[in-house]
Amino acid sequence: MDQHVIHPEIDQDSATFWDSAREHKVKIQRCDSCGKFRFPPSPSCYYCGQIGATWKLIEGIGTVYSWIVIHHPVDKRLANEVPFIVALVEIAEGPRIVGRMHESNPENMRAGMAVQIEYTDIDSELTLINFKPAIESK
Amino acid sequence: MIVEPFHIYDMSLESDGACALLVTSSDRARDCRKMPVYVKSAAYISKATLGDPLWADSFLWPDLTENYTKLIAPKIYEEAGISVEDIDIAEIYDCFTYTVLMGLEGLGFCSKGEGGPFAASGEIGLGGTIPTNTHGGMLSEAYVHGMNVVAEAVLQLRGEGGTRQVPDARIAVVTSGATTIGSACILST
Repeated sequence: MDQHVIHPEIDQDSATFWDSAREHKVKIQRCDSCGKFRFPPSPSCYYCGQIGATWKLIEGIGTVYSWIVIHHPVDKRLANEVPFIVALVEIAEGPRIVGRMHESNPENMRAGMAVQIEYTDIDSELTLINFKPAIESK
Repeated sequence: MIVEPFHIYDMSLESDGACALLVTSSDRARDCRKMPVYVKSAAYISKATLGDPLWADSFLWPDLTENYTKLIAPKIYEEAGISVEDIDIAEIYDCFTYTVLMGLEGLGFCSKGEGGPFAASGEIGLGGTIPTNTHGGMLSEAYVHGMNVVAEAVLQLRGEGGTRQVPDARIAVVTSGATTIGSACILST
């Protein structure tokens, strides 16, 4: 899937996240004090305020909390990609992650539907975390 | 359609404009030319998300079908000594139509989930139970970042609403904000 990207500014808080994505894994922070997973990466916990976290690999699955369908390209370089779906996904570990949905038909979207991470390699430096409908194991 | 489900008319205008609000003590206001409008209560609220309020909108706020208005209404009503039934007009910050729906529900003008049908029924129009955004709001008048929302409440309470004047407008609720963070006040004659 074509995906024009404005490269994220990778800083000391988020470097581990982006490094893991490049390896087709996802690591997010788990607070050393209260144990909650948090996203996006930050120096302190959104829930208890403490500094100190351990990076953990996540399973890579979740459910769709909600989604939007982008029709209007805010940047003309996106003109060939619209319409596309952006989902707000509640991952199994608790927090939510935003990502492009690899699903072309908005009619197939359902609140609560199971999704899994789809890694989208943009270039040698950057891999994006996107989502696709979860593959059912029969 | 811009971003489904928001159509272009669900989004406020882009405007260059200005508003001025003169805030002073009631002692001083008594001697001014214009009839004073009083701030009966005011509050600012942010659901506790330590460290990064901008992300909180989507990532941490548990239920995106409600916003700050639900949390702030009890505070401003109690401080003003009123209940929702006492309010004559509502000026709800309308960067998007969605904030009006959440505001109508959060402020208690209708129950959760009823914002759409309530608005569609005409109850928020000039002759309705709670005339809302009587100037057309930021969706139709201009987007002056909420300042024109406050200004309209003041004009209504002063009786300067012209053809859009709500008869006997004495108490107004004014809100400012979109999702997790916001402020509100009760103004009265």
